[in-house]
Amino acid sequence: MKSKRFFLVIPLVIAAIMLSGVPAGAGPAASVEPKQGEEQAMAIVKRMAEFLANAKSFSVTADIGFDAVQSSGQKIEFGETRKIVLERPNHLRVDETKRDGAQNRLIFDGKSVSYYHARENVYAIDPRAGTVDDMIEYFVNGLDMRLPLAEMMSTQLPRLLSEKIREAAFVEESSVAGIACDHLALRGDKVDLQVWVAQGARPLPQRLLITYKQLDGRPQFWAQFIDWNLAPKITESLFAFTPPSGAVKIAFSPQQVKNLEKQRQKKGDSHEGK
Amino acid sequence: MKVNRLKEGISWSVLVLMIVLMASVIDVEARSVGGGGGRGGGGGGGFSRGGASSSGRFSGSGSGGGSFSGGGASGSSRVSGSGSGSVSGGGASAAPADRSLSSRESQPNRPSTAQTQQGTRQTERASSQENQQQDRQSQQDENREDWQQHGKDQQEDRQDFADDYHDDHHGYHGGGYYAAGVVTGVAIGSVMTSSQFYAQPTSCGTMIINGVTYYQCGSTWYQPAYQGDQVTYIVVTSPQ
Repeated sequence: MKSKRFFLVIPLVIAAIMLSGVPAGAGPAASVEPKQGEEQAMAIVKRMAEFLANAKSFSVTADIGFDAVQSSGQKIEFGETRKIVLERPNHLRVDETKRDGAQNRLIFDGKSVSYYHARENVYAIDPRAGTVDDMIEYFVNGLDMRLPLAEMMSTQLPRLLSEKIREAAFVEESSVAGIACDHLALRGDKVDLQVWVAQGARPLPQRLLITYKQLDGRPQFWAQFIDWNLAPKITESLFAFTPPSGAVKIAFSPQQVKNLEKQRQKKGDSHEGK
Repeated sequence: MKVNRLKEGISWSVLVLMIVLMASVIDVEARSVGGGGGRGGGGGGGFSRGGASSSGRFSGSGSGGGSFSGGGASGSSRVSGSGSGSVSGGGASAAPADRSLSSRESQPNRPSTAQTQQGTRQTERASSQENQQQDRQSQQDENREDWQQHGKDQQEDRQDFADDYHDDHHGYHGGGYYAAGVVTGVAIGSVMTSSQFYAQPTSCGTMIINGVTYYQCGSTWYQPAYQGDQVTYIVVTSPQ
């Protein structure tokens, strides 16, 4: 089954390569042409990344889908909508509604980060001073929390992209939801990326597609960006987290539970010792 | 005429049969995906929702953070992998706490049939779960290497954590660890998803001790914590 699927992918890859600027039947010219395409593609990526990283604030809605590869090999798509409001350097809010209706809310106000889970009416909150970049690093790597599109919210985006991209190609001019875009195909060691960047003065990503090419089933993640706003209306209450009535405070990670458990055991030991 | 009527009758009965069959199929699907009232997004079974691609990341790790619980941890593969049956068969059957400050009314006493069903489903899936787990584990190893490059100070802590985390997962996936739970009570460090937690027959009380929320279900204490973006319930020692 797997090999079959792989063979199905091959023609697509070939098609992508052909689309990426190599004129059909170009023969010897082929080695020159892609390089131009590559420079052009990288320039567009860089411009997009810097534009995003330099934005003082933005809000956007991301419609997201991703493959969950089942043990049978079957791929099932799940997804969510994320409404992101970012105000640099230190405010972020992400309202997430999963397709099954579950809702979560992340709020960072520069002093603490909170995550509210509406269906269970629980929340976790941790003191965390710093920038949005710091918070993202802590949230994703320290707390093991899930934050899709984390890189897009980080000022590190230009660096991360230039580090990860090994090959870049310009696929074509392409329209996404009515917006004229440049369609780029980027290759990394572990993931392939495709990004559709709006043409013109606001080079914002309109669609992103990640292929985890080293994973079984080569699952994909995609996000379509709607309603980019570089001057969102920001009210004070937007970044204030007030636990809804009856909401229960929980730990942010299993590690926090473990740490507490260790502390308690230490205390217990010292009591017994006395 | 008679023949016609007979034909008509047959086609009607075929139609009815098809509708009944379809309805039962839908019913099965609904059950296997939904899992029950207490589902916290994970669902009680059906398709795994996880996978590394759910993280939507392209840097920091090869798979985009499967081990950061972007994918793996938020997937219900874990949900269906463990046995709520064995949990409720363990220490949870002890008398409910009368010290509870507030008892969660949302705590349903699930009918035992539901649990039996779930149990069977889990058994069927056990072997494939193990395979999945191995996959994920190798992903995790890979990821760990990657993010170790970032912060050296935290490296050791994280490593410990990752190791512990793996241990948990073994238990969680319904191997021998859980089986032991049936005999001796629920092992400390076991992790339940919310659907499993709510599927317990015992009613639970909420207690807040030193600002920390605990649930006491019989003689078993749980501390709720996020994993990925799901709520899980971790068995802890009695905080009292």
